[in-house]
Amino acid sequence: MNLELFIWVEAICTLAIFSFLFRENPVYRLFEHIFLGLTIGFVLMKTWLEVLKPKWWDRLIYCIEVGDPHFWIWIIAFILGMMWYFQLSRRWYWISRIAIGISLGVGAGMEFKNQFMLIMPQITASFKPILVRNTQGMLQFSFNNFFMVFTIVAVLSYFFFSFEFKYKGMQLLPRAGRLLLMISFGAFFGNTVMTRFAVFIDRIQFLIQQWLHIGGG
Amino acid sequence: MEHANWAIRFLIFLLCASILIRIWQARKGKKLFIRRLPGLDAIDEAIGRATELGKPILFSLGLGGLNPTTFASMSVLRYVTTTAAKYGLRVIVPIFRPEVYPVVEDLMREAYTVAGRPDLFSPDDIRFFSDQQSTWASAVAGTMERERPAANFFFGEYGFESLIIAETGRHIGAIQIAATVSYYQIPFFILACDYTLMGEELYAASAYLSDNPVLRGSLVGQDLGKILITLLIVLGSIGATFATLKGIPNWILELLKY
Amino acid sequence: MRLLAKLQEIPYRVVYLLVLTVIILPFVIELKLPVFVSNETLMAYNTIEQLPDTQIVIFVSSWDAGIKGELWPQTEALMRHLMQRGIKFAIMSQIAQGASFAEEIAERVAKLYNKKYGVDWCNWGFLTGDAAMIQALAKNIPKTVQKDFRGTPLTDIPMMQGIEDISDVSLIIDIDYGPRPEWISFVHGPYGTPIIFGCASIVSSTLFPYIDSGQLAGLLVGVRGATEYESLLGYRGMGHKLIIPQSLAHLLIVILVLLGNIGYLAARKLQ
Repeated sequence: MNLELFIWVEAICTLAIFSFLFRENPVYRLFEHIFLGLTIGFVLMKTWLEVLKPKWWDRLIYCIEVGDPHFWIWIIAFILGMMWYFQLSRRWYWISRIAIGISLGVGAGMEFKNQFMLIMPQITASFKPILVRNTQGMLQFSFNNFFMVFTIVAVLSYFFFSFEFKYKGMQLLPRAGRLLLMISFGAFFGNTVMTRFAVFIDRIQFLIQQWLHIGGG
Repeated sequence: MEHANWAIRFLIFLLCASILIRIWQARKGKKLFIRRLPGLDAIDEAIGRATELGKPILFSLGLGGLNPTTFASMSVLRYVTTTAAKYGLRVIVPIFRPEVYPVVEDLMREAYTVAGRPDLFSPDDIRFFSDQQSTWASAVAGTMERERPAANFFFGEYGFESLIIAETGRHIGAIQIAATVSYYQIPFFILACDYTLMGEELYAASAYLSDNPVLRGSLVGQDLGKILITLLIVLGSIGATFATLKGIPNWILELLKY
Repeated sequence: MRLLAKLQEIPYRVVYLLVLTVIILPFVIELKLPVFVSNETLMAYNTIEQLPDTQIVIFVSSWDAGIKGELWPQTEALMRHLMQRGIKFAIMSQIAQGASFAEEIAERVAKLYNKKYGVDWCNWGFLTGDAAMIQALAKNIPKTVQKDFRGTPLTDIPMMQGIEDISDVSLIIDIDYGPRPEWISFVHGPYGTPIIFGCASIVSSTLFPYIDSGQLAGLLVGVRGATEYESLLGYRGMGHKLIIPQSLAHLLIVILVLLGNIGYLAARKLQ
């Protein structure tokens, strides 16, 4: 019985949001605000129960209870965290800059390693032989490799901002880059249609099969 | 591999040095050339259209937190707000990440003051909705339907909500300009918006409009990095070709492997 | 020609109706389509097939209700494979909702294979911190995680006995709308741990370079990837249910795009 009630609630919420397809209306607005409140409340609860409480509060209390002198680490963590809230004060806003600065600094430092670990293997993987010999399908492999290297060079040239390609011959490379970018955006578009439809079909499947009990499953 | 080898360390040094030298040059007052992007004219056109219709502008900074993309978008926001304020227009900014809110509030207050219209600034025009994508998208779409902005700017990082908000904006007849580093959302912005800046063009637009020496220097310095990587790839491919044909090792690959 | 030009002005409500029809049809009339397994899905399958059962798998499930349609079938298919092979796994999530969805799927799949919580699988819950957390996890798992989703200390969970760091992990699976490349940078790069990503179709194009460079051991792309994986495992699950209306919808979109372009060209000729 409870499950049936939840299914009805889920169906009503789904249809309320779908009503936007017809036009913006008070029902859509009501459910939009309900979702806003729900998600904020949910995330707040989860953040306390699964992050702050086990990883900070419980550890701080434990350190104090056992007399561990390193409890001050958790106090500093609390102070650093609280610094973010000074963003709300016009007078003490500068305090939040310390916390923001630390976050940005740590983030930037980690990004060095992150980007090089990600990008270097891809750069070395793009060292493709333009001519391949003595293998089956060597023409196809040669063309694929050449096309891949040409695409990388052309697209990179499209994003050169500090000089202009003055001569018409030189403009061919960035133009080719732009064309190849558009082709890739077509592929992105196709993939995105796939995602959007999958999400929509999942809702329709729920409405048809689980709510209205039409069809098997 | 926990740490970089010497070749990669040298590469990192070259890339950082080119950026830092260009920033230093820009700070010294050297004029660093950045070519004008066609999309920048569209920004002024959009503000002009909003002025004619007497309707507000909506400027969305996307989903990013306090990161380089959002800061670049904020440079454009400052420009748009300063220009809009001169014509007596409101700029509505929907916020996704709460930590961005006070930075935007300060920026806009300053922009309106610089334009000589501090009276136009209203904190109610800066609206934090949610940090959940679906909810945020619904709220922005609802705001567009209610406020009916004449011009929409979508600058920053976006997810699947890009088409929801861009399509809603198109539906209400607003002129729309987008600039995003989220490559998978670019096709939707291209379809639904009047002009789209792709990927790094967002940073170029920000550097061009803000005239900030750090932004300009970084952009020009990064161009050297791109040229370096392009050369590496070309040389690496030539090396790989010789390696396949002659059976000799690809020395560039050996240098960069770790 | 005038009639052809009208093809680019098909009312959007007609399009909605057509889309609804092709989507609802397969739920009413049972249809079957052949499934061709792609290279990246096969790579993922083979990776799990070759895993030793002496180490655990970290199953990162960082998706929420908004992308449930694509990632639920992937999560279920991969969990089935792991449980089928008797490989222990620990669920975790880098967003608030993720661990709950994964828990629900794991409980359902565990009943099919008679697997027990704490012995064959466990749930570490929501772990925040992105790159810093991933690096800390790689160096010391018990210290980073401490307790599971239910508040049980990791030391009291049988399957976590002797699990210290990344060397005790044979594979990391990240199912996310856009899986985080930090797993590649901070885990695969330094330690060589294989990574499998399961992603929404929309971000798949940006992840194929990682397959090409060997940084990923497999990739599941949206519902298609889930369907392919289900066919490799030999069962018809949620993926198969969703891929048929999806295929028909795609066909409809292709037809509408062609019609729209015909209408556009006809309109241009009329001018």
